[in-house]
Amino acid sequence: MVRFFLKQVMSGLLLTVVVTAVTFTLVFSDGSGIARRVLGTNATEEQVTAKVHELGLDQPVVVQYGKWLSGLVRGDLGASYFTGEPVGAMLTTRVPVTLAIVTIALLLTLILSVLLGVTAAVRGGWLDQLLQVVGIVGASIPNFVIAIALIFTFAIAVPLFPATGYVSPDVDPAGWARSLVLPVMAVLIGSIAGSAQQFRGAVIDVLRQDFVRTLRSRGISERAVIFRHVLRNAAAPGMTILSIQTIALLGGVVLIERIFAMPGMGLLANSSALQGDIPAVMGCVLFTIVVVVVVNLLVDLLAGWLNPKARLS
Amino acid sequence: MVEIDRRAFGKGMLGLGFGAILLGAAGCTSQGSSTSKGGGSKVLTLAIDDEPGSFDPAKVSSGGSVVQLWQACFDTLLRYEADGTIVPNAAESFTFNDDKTALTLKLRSGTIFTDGAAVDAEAVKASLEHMKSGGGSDSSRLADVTVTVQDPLTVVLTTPKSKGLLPMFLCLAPGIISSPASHTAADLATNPVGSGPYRLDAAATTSGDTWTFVRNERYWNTAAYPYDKVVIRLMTDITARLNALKSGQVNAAPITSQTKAEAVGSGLRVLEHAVNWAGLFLADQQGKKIRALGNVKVRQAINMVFDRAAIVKGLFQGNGAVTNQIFSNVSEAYLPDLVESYPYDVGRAKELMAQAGFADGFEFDLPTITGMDAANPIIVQQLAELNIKVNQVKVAMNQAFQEILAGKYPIVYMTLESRTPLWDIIQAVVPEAIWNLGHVADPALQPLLDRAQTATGEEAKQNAQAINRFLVEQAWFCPWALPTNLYATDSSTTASTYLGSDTPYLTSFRQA
Repeated sequence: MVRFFLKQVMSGLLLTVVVTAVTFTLVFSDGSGIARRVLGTNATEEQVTAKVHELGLDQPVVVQYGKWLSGLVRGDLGASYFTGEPVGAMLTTRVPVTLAIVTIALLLTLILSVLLGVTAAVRGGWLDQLLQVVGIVGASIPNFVIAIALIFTFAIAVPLFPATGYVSPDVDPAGWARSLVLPVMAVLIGSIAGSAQQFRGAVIDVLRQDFVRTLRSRGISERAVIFRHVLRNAAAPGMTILSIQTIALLGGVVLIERIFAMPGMGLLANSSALQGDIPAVMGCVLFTIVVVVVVNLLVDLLAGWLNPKARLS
Repeated sequence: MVEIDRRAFGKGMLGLGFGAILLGAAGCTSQGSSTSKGGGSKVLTLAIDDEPGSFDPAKVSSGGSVVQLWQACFDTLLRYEADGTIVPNAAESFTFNDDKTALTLKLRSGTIFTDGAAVDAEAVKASLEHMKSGGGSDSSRLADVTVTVQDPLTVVLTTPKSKGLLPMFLCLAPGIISSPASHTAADLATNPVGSGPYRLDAAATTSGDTWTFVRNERYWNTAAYPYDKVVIRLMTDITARLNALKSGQVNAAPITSQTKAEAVGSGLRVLEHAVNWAGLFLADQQGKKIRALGNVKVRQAINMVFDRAAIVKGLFQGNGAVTNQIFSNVSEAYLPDLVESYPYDVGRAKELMAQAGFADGFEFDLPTITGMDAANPIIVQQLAELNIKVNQVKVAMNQAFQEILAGKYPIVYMTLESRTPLWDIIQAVVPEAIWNLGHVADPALQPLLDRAQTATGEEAKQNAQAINRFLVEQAWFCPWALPTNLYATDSSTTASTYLGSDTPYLTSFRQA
């Protein structure tokens, strides 16, 4: 298990280096363009040249990347070109917002989609058909449409939750919970719809296998067969879907953060990319990679823990 | 199908249901009162639709909703009223010499910046010079200005040539005064040190999302700002702004023509006025890139191929007025008798193209910014009537303006604000104007442009109208419409529209 863990960590680190290196090469290739955007439209050529030098954009991209990477190791992600604010500090205020939405949505997705998927697979009949129809409908409605409907219903018509904004848990824990309810629900519906179908399929596949029949013939209770054996074997494909859902959630929250005016990573990535604030863009890229790598690692570990065969593959 | 333990399953579902009820119950508690009042103090909460880059006075913008951010913490030397009349502000008086080359400003005594430094002539000089050298979009407005300190409370701004628009510039970003010590501070972009009606409360501010300003008790004119606290929230999405308005989270926000009906239906007050003209800049009037554009008949033909009434109805949802002039319809320069100069007449337009010898049309690149390309189908379709082929070139937002201002494209679709006649002339007509994209100088027009700098009263009006007539007859531009700018406030808040500004200025907000 330790070897398996180390292997996953190493591949995650390699992925981080490769993706950041490629992104860095793409975004840092136009030094004078970056400097001109920072200085404004009326900057003179002399000012642009001085800015390029000041920001170190006249150095080879490999050298610039090396500096960024060494800064990263020291915990220094540079500073915004426009506000001078350290990128680390910018992420500190933004990451909790996005992570709160994604983590809560992911946990609820895991719990609810396993429950719904297992129920549909095991009970079959009208319940299975209903869940499938609901699943297809849920997956086909864009989450921003769901968000607008939720806001209209639960923030304007019946004002239970705030229509926009994010409250820090340090300031008001109850307000924090309230500010997250609608955004989480908006991303949750599509996420559950997709995942529950996959869990259902995985459980049905395992239920058809010979060993399930053998277990039943030995007189083991149906509950033990399902929760101790079937779920364990269905874990690997189910978990893979969850890791894919994480990436989809990270993409989906960009729009959700806009609609709910929440100061998360999605808005930061969007505005910094439009502005050309490259250090902030790199911070956002790094955050996304780290989340994807960590979630994949956790999913692999969980699948490996639940089913030792998965560790070998 | 197999059976699982129904009781266990039932318990699980019950637990989930209970959890959901708990979550809902958390939400059922009070949502937080309206932001208009809190704890007895008056709070104004505004939404802005554009990301502010920096609090560095040299980098702030004179237009857009972001002006409310810097108006909260910085004072300007002069100020203009809703109708464009320029009045004293941080400078208690100002005098302009007859040839508009020397502007003398007399400052108020006893005012200070929030760091305790005095607002004096040296600080004003430092502020204006910081703006000049800062490289921001407004720096060119002061490029030829020399600042001389006459005494501790008097500065004289001189220019080598007449600069009649200088007082107007000093009402906007170029007129911001800020503490000289802050110009070299590391936190210049995030920590504004001004002498405005409010100061930034850093502890209650989340950079890039929410800015909280508390009253600056030392401000010289606190009576003009009735709110004790101003909170400004960034909401780039119109759905978010409208929902925040409807649910009472913000008091005022910019809206769009698509959302006007919903705003009105929700009981919001909607402020409407014309700010911009929308249409084509026929930038290559000298025919350097496209020979045909050097011919006035071709430019007139282009003006006749667009159905302006249909454009107002379709592109602007009926919120606007047709025009063929770059001066707004409330401007002294506007000429109602010219409106019918270029009626929608494709047949006549084709005849003009043929007379000019360009019946086969031409081909050009049109810069296209994703999300700002709603007019493109109209341009492509209508110019095709004249055999003009439009190549839509995708340009990133952050590159587009640099390329457009550098004169890369012969024809550009844009919207441009219209303020006073002189403003519009200096912005888009004089050879060195930013929006005279080809920097065209016409000897027949130049005397009128020179006169515009110094003329006042009736002479200024007649001169501006003569310039307008020249521009329309020579078809320098192809304006289509004056789209109505929309801004909404809740029922407890009032605000005023300002000439040429798409956002009500902070000083105009009041409780209803």
